[in-house]
Amino acid sequence: MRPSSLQAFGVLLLLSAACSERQPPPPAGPPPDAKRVNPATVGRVSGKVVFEGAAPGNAQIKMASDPVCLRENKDAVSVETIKVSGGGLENVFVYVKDGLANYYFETPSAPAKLDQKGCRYMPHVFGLRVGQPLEIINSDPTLHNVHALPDVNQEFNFGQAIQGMKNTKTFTAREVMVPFKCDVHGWMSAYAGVLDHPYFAVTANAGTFEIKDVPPGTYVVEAWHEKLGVRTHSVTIGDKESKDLNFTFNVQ
Amino acid sequence: MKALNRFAILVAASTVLLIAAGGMVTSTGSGLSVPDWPNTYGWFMFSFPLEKMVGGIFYEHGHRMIASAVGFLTIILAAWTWWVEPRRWVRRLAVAALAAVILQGLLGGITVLFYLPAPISIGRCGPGDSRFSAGIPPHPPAGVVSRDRNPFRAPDRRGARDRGDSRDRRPRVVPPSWPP
Repeated sequence: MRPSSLQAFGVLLLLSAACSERQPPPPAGPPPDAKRVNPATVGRVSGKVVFEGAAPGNAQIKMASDPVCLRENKDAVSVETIKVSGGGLENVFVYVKDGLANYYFETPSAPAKLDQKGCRYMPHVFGLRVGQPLEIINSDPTLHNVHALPDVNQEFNFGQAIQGMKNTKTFTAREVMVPFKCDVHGWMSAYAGVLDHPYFAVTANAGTFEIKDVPPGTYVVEAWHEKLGVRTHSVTIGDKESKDLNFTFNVQ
Repeated sequence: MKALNRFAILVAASTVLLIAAGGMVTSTGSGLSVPDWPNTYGWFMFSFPLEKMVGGIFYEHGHRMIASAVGFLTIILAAWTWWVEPRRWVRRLAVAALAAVILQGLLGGITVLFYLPAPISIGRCGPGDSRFSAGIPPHPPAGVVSRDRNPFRAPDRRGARDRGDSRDRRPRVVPPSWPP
């Protein structure tokens, strides 16, 4: 190999190295001053995410580019961007953003699940823990690629060509939110909130949510929506106390 | 030589098609719909089933197939030019076109495996455009004229006629205005 060819090869290698990202370190064990939650004193935060005003219509998905998706969705399907039911907003990720400084929580070994069914991600918004396995399943008889686009964690993109394929991934750092997309089917998107504690929920029907077993303290609770942004409230929970917390979103 | 000229035009035209296919990949956001390279979802690229070319895969895998065809045509063009073309700079240009297509293939692999890094993705345009440019000037069909009838003839640096071989009656290709 001549020197010029070697140089060109070296440049390519450097470019490759420059493009790669460093994986954040895995979660460490409990710090020396870590506190454990006392189950006898825990409380609860629940409430509703209200959507104010008239709900805008979501765009209809055109699935003609994949006959399998078309067959799986005989009725018209819309994107899930703004899903309003009973005056409440669904698919809002509500979580304790701040206030749990010294608490330590074991990482669950049971995997969180993200399914690809009917050429949609199910669930569309979900939460999981740092270090918790995420099982990604392809239930469709067509190909999907699973492309996670985090800012803090390691990006990944892999294919699932066969129905029933499963892959497991983990995130090593806290990040709200990690977007997922399928580049084969441009309408498929999902969002994962990766947290180092268990105090999160996703709003269901009528925009309701419930966060259980919260230790006494003062917390910043945030509600995140993929399109409408975030709303933040502060809440103080006493021993065995339950608090109601409502968030309001609107299209400005 | 006329056949080579026409073939060069074919290569240039196929490069235009390749650039257009690349544009479709970008504008449909399908660049990472095939996450592996050089394979396609584990299949050898050329044995990937047609019925599985759905959604973004149609654009991305189609782009790869067109790129492979253009690469193959460029190999033929480089070999053919090297074999019959008397001018050294044209032969070098043909080899440079081949090097550019190989470079672009490698950059394409890097851009897939490293999730569309902007410098690589943008840098990939250079070899494509320059390869298209490389296909046209050395082999203009209108330029295939007898050297004796060309009032703007430039001296061939290499060739049988310059070496005094009077048996060589091949038509001469008019060099473009560059290099001077």
